[in-house]
Amino acid sequence: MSVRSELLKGILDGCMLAVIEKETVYGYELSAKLHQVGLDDVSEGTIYPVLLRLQKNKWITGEMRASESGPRRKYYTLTEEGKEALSFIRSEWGKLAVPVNVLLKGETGDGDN
Amino acid sequence: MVTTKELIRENNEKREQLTEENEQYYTNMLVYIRSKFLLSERATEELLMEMLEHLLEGQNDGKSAEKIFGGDPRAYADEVIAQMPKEKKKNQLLFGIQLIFSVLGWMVIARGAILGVLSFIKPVDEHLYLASTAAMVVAVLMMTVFGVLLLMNMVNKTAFEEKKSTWKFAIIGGISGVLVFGLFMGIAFFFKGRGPAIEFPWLASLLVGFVMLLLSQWLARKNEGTS
Repeated sequence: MSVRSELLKGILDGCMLAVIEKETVYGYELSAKLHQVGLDDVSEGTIYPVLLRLQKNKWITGEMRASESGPRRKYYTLTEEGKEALSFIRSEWGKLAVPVNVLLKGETGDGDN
Repeated sequence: MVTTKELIRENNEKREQLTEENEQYYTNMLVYIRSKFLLSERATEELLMEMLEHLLEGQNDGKSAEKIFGGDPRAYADEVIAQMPKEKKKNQLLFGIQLIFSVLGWMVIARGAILGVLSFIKPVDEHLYLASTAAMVVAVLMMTVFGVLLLMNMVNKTAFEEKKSTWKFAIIGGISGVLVFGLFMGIAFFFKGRGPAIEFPWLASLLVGFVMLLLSQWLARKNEGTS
């Protein structure tokens, strides 16, 4: 497994929550969106165990509906608890990303980004 | 909302749209996940439908099942199963009772039918001996549970085998059949006419059996509604 996918594993929950926060999506759409932003070395199937776990945590709810074009899809929406979890993950990631950038990239860390 | 039964039927229809290779990969995984004991049936079928729709959409974009779900389907399926919700206790109980009614129903019907036919040929003993009957009922129920578990376990173990070894199933099936038959004959012989007797005519036997099957059907429908 590549270093990148190892690193991604821990934060994939957060990434998926962020996609679902923006809009209600179904599985294929969700994996396409992850690929679009550049997370293209996650195998598509990886999202399903994570989706199950997020549902178990009650961070998202899934509803099975038939779409107009025919296929039956399960659409995922963020719950209130999910929003809280996502904002927590965001702040935790921020605390990690800034110092890691400082160390690995030599950024000064007191800039605006 | 769509029922679980409808999801299963739709799954069967939609699977035909898969290419041969994808169908093989997906069906193995489906058999493996479905044969896992005590998973929520509803959650299982929803997940299988999601994965099938994903695969169909991916297939249209030129992707293979292996590309989507990875090169090790068993490991992937185990990962998914670890996160699946279990069947509710209430539904497990209802399913157990339903199975008992169905097995007992068929037993009682078989008894009624055999005695009914025999009674036209010669006089028959239409009494039920409580101890003999209890022994037989316990044996049949235990064998049913054991048989179902054994079968599910075998299906689960062989889901990803390249060549499905049907002869293995046949041999184990044959041996168990002989053993079970022997056991029942033994019980019928050693427990013959034991315990207090009550009269239970063959026609009543048929009727009671039908009522039990109806109850079992009713429970099955009730279970479908709540899961």
